[in-house]
Amino acid sequence: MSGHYHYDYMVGDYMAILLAFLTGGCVIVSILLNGKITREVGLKQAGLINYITGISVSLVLYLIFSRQPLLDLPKLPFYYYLGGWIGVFVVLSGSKIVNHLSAVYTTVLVFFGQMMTAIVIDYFISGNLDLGKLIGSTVMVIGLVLNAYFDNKELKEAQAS
Amino acid sequence: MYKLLAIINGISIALMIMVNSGLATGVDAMSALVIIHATGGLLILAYFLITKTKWKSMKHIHPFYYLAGAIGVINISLNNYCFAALGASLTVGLVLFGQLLTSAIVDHFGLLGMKQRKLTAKKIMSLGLICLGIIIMIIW
Repeated sequence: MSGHYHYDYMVGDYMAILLAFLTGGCVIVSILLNGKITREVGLKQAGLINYITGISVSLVLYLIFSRQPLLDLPKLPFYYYLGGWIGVFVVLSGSKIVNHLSAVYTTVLVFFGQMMTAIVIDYFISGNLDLGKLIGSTVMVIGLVLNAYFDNKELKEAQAS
Repeated sequence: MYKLLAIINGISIALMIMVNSGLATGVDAMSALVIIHATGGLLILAYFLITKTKWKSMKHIHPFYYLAGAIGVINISLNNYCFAALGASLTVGLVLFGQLLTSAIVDHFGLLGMKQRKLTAKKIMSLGLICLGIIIMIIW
């Protein structure tokens, strides 16, 4: 991981493309599993359990594979350490959002926020605005709106029958 | 307004992927995992205690469901790697597409406790359009 982008794709990047796609699957599975625990004990406890198991797994991996002493960290911008807190915000606010917005609005607006930010990030890091990404993400949003709309319609029809 | 909160939620997810990946590149992948989970875990613990939440018994929950935390570790690791290799927009787009396809399959077969809802032609078409958007992002 060198931290810079390659825009002419090599084999390693096709691997990353596949992995990103699989990550989506993992996200769904973890949401469904966590959802069950949330229904049983509530959101805060479920979140806490999730982080406890996560810390345990991370610590094991760290002890096996890492050579970095945790108390002697290199100088990094402070916001690099905020990811954990942002994650807590995302989970807690997410649960409030799904209670107040329809599934269509939730999926489309959350994705829109993600994509908009991602394109801005890419612009700042690479220095140029990629037209393909703008057009492709617009097509994605259109497809997503349709997908969420059909989903919602089918759900209503299933409930009515 | 919840619509604004939803957009902020999405913005936060993208920022989270960026800073987590930056941390993983700056220290190393495994230390980053520990730091991310420790900081987040402390915050949610504080929230849990400050709101005086009562701890409910979990004896009847099948241990299988605790895998969610382990899968979370995999999520973060994969996101960190993909962000560094592909950049933000592709990572976000591909993860979303993976999510949508997985939800469609889970619903179609009624897996993991979800009600069975078969795929319709309209859904396949809209998923195809999303896929087209990703292909445009990759090759354009």
